Amino acid sequence: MAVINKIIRVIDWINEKISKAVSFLVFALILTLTYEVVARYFFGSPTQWSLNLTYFICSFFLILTMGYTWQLGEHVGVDLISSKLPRRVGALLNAVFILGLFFLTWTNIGRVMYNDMLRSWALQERSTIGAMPPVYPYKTWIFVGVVLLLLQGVSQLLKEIQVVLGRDRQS
Amino acid sequence: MSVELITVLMLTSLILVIMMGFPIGFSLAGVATVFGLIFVGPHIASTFMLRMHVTLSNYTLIAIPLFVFMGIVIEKSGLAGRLYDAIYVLTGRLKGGLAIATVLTCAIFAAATGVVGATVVTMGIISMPAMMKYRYDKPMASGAVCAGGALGILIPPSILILVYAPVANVSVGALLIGAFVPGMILALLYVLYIGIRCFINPEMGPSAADGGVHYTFWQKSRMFCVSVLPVLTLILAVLGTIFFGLAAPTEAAAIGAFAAVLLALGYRKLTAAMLMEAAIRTARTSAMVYLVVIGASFFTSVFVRLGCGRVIESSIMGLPFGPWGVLIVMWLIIILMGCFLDWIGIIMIVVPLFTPVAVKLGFDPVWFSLMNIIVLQTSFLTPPFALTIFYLKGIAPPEVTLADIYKGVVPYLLLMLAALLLFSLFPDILLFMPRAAGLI
Repeated sequence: MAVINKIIRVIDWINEKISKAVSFLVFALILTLTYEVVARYFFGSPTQWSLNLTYFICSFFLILTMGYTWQLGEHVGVDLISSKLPRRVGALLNAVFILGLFFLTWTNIGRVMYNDMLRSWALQERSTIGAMPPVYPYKTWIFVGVVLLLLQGVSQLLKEIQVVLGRDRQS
Repeated sequence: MSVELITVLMLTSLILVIMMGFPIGFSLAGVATVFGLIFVGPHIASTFMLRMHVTLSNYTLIAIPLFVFMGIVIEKSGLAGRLYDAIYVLTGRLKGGLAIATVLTCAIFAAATGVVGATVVTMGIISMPAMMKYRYDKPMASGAVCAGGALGILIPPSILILVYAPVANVSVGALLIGAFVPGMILALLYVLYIGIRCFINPEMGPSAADGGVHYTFWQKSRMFCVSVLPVLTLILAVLGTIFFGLAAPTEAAAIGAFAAVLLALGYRKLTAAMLMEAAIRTARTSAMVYLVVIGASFFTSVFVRLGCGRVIESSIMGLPFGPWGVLIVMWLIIILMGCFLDWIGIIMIVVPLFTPVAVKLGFDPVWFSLMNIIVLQTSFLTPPFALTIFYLKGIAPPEVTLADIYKGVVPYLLLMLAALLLFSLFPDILLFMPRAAGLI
C-alpha cells in the first residue's frame, strides 16, 4: 500500500507544482492583449504576432492545469445521486468510468497527438495564420498536457480503488 | 443499427453517466469515444485531436480566463460591501429599501464578476444580516439574493455568453450587447415587485435608515463616486468598446481585467498573495470550462457525423404544436434539465440541437439565444439542484430555513416568466441594441 500512496502523492505533487507555476501566464495574456489595443490606437501599429501569441499562452496554462483541476475535484459534475450512494459504490462507479471512458478517450487522443507532434517537428511545421510562427512547440505542450492529464487519471483511479477496498485514509 | 436507435442510446448513456456523478466534460468525451470507435472507426481520435486544436485556438473563448480573472479580482477588492453601503444609503428610507439595494448591488456586482456563486455568497453575507435585523420578510429577502445573483449569467460581461455564442454559432458581441437590456428589465421588475409588496404591506420590509446615521447630500454623492461610479465605468467601458466596435470582445476582456487590477489598487486591496491566488483560481476555473467545451465538441462531432442531429431536428419539427409550441417545449426541457444539471452542461447538450430547429422555424438566432439565456437563469433557482439556494443556505443566518428560501424564489421565477412573455410579444426589446451596434 505504501507504494500506491507514494505514487498518488508524487503525481498530485507534480500536477500541483506545474499548475501553480504556469498559472502566472494569465498576466502575460492580459498584458499582451492590452498592449495590442494600445499599439493599435496610440502607436498606430497593430502587431502581427498577437493572434498567435494569445492562443499559445492561453492553451499553455489551460492544458497544463487540467489534471490539477481534476485533483481538486473542480471539474463540474452532478453529485445529486452519487452523493446519496454508499461511498464505496460511488467509488466503484467512478473507477469503472475512469477505466472505461477516461482512459479510452485520452490514450487514443494521446497516441494520435504523439504521432502528429513527431510529424510536426520533422516538417518544421508553421502556423497558417498571423505571423506564421512554428507550431511544433505548441503541439508539444498540448501533448505534455494530455500526458499530465492521463497521469492524474492514474492517481484518481488509485484513490477510487483504495476507497472501494476500504483502505483509504478516512476509513 | 438504425440512426434513431443510436441517437437514443447515445443521449441516454450520456445522461446516465452524468447523473452518476462523473465530470460532465469527461462524460461527453467518453461517450463520444465509445460511439465514435464503434460506429465511425479508430480514426475518430484524429477528429478529436483536430477539434481540440480548434477549441484551444478559438480567439473568442480566450475571453473566458480574462473575465474570470476580472471577476475574482473585483470580488477580492471588497467592492460588494462598498456598493451595498452606498446604494442603501440612497434607498434605505424606502419601504423594502434594503431588499431593493440588495437587488441593485447584485446586478452591478454580478455584471462585474459574471459568476453567480460568488455573487450569492458575497451578497448573502453582506445583506442578509442587515435585512434580518430590520425584520424583513425572510422569503422575500432570500429570494432577492438568489434572483439577484442569477442575473450574473445574464448581465454582460458574463462567462455563460462566451461559452454559449460559439456553440450556437452566433456573434458573441451581439449577445453581450443584447443581454444588457433584458438584464436591466429583470432587475427593474424585481425592484418594482419588492417596492409594491412592501408598500402594500410595510411589515415585510420596514424602512431602515431612520435608526442609522444621517448623511448629507455631499456625503452621499461622495460615497456614490467612490463606490458605484468606478465599477459602473469599468463595466460600461468593456461593453462600450464592444458596442462601438473599438475592440474585439477578447481584447475588451483583457482591458477589463487590467482595469480590475487598477480598481483593487485604488481600494488598497492589491497584494502579491491576492494576485497569485487570482491567477491559480483563474487557471482552474478556465480549465474546467474548457474541458466541458472540448468534451462537447467531441460529442457533437460524433453525433452529427452519425446523423443523429437530423433525427432530433425532424422529431422536434414533427411536434404538432406550431412554431411557438415547439419553442415552449424547448424551454420546458431547459427548465426541467435545470432542475438537475449545471448551466454549462445544459448549453453543451441542448443548444447545438435546438438552435438549427429554431432558425428553421423562422426565429432570429440572436433573439432565441437571449431567450434561452434568460430561461437558463432558472437552473440556479429550481430545486432539487439549485445552486443559489444551497449557497445562500450555507451562509445565511440560521433562522432562515431552506423552506423560506424555496418559497422566496417562486415570485422571482414568475417575474422571469412575465419578462419572457414580454420579450416574446416584443422581440425588438432584445434586438434593438445589437442592431444599433451593427452586430446583426
